[in-house]
Amino acid sequence: MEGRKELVYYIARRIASSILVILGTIIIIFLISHVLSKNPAALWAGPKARSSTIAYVIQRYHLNAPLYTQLWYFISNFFTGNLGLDPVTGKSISSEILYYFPNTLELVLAALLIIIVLGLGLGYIAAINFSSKKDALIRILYTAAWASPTFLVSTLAILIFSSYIPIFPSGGMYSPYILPPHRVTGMFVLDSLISSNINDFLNGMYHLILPALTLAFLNFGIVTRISRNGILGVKWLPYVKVARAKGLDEKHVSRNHILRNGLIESNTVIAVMFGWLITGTVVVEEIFSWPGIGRFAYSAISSDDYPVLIFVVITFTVFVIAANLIADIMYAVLDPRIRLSGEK
Amino acid sequence: MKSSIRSAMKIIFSNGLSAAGFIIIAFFTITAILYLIIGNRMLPYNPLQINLYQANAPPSYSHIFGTDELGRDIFSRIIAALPVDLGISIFVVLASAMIGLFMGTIAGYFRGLIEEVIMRTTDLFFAFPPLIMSMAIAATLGPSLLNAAISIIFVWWPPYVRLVRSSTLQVSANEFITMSKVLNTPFRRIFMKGIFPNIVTSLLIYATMDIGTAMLTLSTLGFLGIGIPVTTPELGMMASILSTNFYTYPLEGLIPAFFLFLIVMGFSLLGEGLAEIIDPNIRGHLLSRKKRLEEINRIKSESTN
Amino acid sequence: MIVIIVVVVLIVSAFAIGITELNSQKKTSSTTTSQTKNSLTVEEGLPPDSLDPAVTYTTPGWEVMNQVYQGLVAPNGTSMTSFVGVLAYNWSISSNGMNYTFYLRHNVTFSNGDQFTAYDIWFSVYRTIIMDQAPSWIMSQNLAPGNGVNFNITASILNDINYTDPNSTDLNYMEYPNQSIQVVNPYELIMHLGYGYNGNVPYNAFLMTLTTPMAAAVDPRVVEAHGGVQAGTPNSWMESNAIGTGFYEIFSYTPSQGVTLTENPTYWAKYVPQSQWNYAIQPPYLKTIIILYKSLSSRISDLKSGNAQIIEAPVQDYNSLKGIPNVNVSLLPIQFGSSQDAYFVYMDPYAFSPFQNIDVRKAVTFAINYQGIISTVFDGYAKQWIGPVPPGFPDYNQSIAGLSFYPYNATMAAEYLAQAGYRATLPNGTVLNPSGNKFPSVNFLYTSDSTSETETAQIIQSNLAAIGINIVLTPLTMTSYTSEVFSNATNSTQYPMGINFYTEDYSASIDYVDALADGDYVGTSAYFNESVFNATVNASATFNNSAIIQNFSFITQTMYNQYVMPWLYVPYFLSITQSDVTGIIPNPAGSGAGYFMFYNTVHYT
Repeated sequence: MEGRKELVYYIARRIASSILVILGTIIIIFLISHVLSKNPAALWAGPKARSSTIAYVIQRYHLNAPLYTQLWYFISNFFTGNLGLDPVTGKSISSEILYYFPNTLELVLAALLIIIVLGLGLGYIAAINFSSKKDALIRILYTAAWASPTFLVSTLAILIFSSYIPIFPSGGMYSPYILPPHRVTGMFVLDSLISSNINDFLNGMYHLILPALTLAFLNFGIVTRISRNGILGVKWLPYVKVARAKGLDEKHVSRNHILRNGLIESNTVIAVMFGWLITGTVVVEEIFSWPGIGRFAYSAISSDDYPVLIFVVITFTVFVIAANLIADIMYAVLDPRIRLSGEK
Repeated sequence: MKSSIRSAMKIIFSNGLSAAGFIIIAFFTITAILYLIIGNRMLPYNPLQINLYQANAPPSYSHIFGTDELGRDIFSRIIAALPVDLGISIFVVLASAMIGLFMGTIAGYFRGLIEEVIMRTTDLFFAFPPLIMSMAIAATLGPSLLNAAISIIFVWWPPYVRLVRSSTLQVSANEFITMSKVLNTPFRRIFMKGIFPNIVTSLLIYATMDIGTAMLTLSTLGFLGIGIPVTTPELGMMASILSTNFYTYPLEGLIPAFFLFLIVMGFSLLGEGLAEIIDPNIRGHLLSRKKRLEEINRIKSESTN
Repeated sequence: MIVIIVVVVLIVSAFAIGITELNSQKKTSSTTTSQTKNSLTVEEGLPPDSLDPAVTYTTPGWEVMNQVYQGLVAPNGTSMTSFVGVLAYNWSISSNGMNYTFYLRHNVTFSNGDQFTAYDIWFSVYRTIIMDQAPSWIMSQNLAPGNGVNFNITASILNDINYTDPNSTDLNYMEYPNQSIQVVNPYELIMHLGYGYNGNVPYNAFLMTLTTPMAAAVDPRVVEAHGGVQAGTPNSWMESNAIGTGFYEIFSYTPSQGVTLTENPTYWAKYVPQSQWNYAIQPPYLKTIIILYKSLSSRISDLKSGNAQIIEAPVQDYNSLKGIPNVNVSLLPIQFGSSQDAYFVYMDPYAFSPFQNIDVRKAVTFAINYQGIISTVFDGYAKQWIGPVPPGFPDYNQSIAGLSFYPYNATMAAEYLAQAGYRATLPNGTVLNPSGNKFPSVNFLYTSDSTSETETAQIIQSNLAAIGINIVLTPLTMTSYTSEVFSNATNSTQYPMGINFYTEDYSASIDYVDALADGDYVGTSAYFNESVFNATVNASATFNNSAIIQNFSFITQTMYNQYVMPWLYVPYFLSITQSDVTGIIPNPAGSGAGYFMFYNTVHYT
């Protein structure tokens, strides 16, 4: 009973501090965008803007008011979801983020699944073959993947798999003749599954594989390394030795005891990985023409679209914080020592 | 000092991965330093010299990697890019480590409110999307190498604070420091004698492994054309030509990209090898295969008895 | 464990489907005949900025607009001075050039079934002007919502009128004679020039301005159902939806991925006798047009694999694209290409006083290796020019008569620099005027998004360094660049020099001449010259061709002799299609894949 109370207390504390952190990020981003850009009104109003538009922008964002008043408007607008219009496209920023974000989420979740399968699998193989040629090969593979520039892998992937051996499309999220299904999650693959349109679903999967594989290849290293080391860590623990000693055969020992315990460690890494992947898709999305939020952020940066950029960064930040929060809570639930010894 | 370097070398060369990584890094670092000292005289061509009559030349005896779209020698540009890429990445990591050392020891040693403030600020910066934040800041500041470095440092330091703080916490528990606290020894002295020597190893190892990642981020900025001055030879920026002439002159972009990969690979290999040595889970089992088998057999025989 | 199995099964099945789909695609493309090929895939680099005809100001946006919306008239194929009727079947121009009467077709409908009348044009053009977005000036040069005395149309008036069945108040507004657009009856309207900012003068390119999306017929009932007109503000719904009278309608729009157009099933011209068709209204051959926005490497790879029938690629890829089997790649004559980007270097004497000295400007002009830039940056596929009329446009040859391109002559450049009082270096290394000051370093602006500008800037930097002028390359992103360069406010002090270019807003020589010669630009405003300005007004107001030429050549000579702007180059444009695609009609005003207007004429052989 005592333990549960403490767990609840711990979680409440983490949530509270996460909310504070989110507020802090909003303030920092606000300051950066207002202090660093020399003439925000002209920039935000867009190219070839007329003076009337600039006046509108000044009025809309209260750019003439003192900084703290602007900050207050900014925060209250954020929490009421009133993000304003994108000066470049004229659409509402919240609708644009709601459109692009699920697309990235789809790509990232697919990559994450591949990473889990590939990363854990290879980590397990490497660990049980510790110090052998297989182990060395796997380690060199993931070190190389980790060291590869994203742009190189993405460009080569397109060159090889859609030009020389054309088995995958060279970009895009689904074939253009498809009318996207009713948006529920916003993720094409899931939505087409929900509306039970198998053809659309498979078409989406077909477009998803190459970018997801690329993203997974670039990032599976850390999961492999941690699961490998985690498994190695338990491999010689006393109870495993006992299990071996009890006469259980090596296969059984590795599968049941070593694998399960070695994986606990990887769990939290995967949650952190999620936040990491979400923010790291810019180049992959750009090269694979994937209409995701990373590509959107890049285009906002290259057109100096600050109102959009601010909210994209905040969206990312909130997701990263949420992912870390989940990771911490998972860890606390799985491993009671953490909360007993407190956060520190 | 000499002996500690020797023992470090011993650790590095005890493992094939870290040895390979170390050799790669050493090779490129020495080349970069040589270039910084000797300058363009060590190169076959001036890396900035535009030669319109030699544009897009394929690899040949006179240009071993060919020339780029403005007729500049790619081999010379790669050498000239080494100090830029290595230098900025090392600068980013060092600056982050300094910030981490400063804020982390204060947080870990003084605890209380000041720790709470530092750690929550760190959490805050930790949550920023690293690449996008760097891109945004570099784009706002305008292209210059210093701005590129600043934009990366902005998101790079938080892990260092966490690392230093947790090491400081561990170290603070030891007797020397408890005693010193009682004896009212000034913080500077405690830091120099008690804390710093104990955390510097893990900090150095982490920082070394981190240089490669910083370099990837830097080159991604270069590839996207953000933050790096256009005439500066930088590997990512040289590779960015891939997005326009991939089908016409792919080598112009692929060769710099490959060198980038090679250098980062060096850091990853070194890090991978070092982690093996440092990771307490594995350290105890860095025994030869034979010894392990012996151990298993011993346990078996013990339990059957 | 179950999760893993499910994932693996899904991946494998998707692989299998992918491969079978690919095989089936291969089969269809190899076995079917042209009559079953109903769709065409076009791949380009940049997505549209907006799908609202009153807002879009980029080629990809206009490309979609031209298929979905229609205006009163369209440019007649390759000519820039003759037109064909689209929603108007005929028109007449008053002898003083101030009044254009349009006679509209009957039985034209929007794709939602709404009937089209003159009221819709009245609404659409005023809507463009009142929304006052970036391209609205194309209309407000000559037209305005008020007459300055007793009549003014506002957003709320536009929103209140019933356009299907107007009452007498509504008609009082629309039929009032002293306004820019006067409706005579539902099928006749008169446009009165002289209310816009050009003043009370005729404008000989007025019909060309009416071919832009800014004058396209928008359905007022649709706009009113989705937020109506708001002064100075874009309409969110209209940004991503489009209902027009054109031959295609939007099937789906996936921002930054693509637009799929399908044939408008109720397209009005299907019921028009074939003898009255012209290329701008004839019903489309193909059922579906797919426009995708992809990276260059993806585009080329899709062209090779046959997944794309038309792609857009920079002229630098000409040689490598020529080698792809079954693909037609050709260099279009110089006036084609939406971009029709005409480049020059500007020098701003107000921001940087040394540029007030004509010898300095001559030194800069002669120091640039024009042919070297063209052969390196564009593999030779660009043309040196003398502005402001761009090559290939009407009256170009006449207006540059007697002039020769600025030469590259480093010796002369160094001599002029020395004459201006600065230290200068000859190509052989001799230093001229060694006691003179070193020329002060100056910032050089260009667009960082453009590969060709980035390369050109570096070449110019090395050219100028050779004679003793150091420039600091200071690129900006396109947005910041345009807000710096196109602001007709004051001159930039931070960027006194740089690469500038002009892209047509509508296909008329006067569009370039107005922009480059009458002082709206940074660097050009510095040489603002009353007599040149008067010449631009005269050239735009007259219908007498020799008077136009006389004014153009006066402007060209004056600017040339002042060494105001070293004219750089105009790149060629590539037409890249699969060899079985035909029916493309290149048009100087074209935006489809960058060089043609309409997809209705495109089909397979």
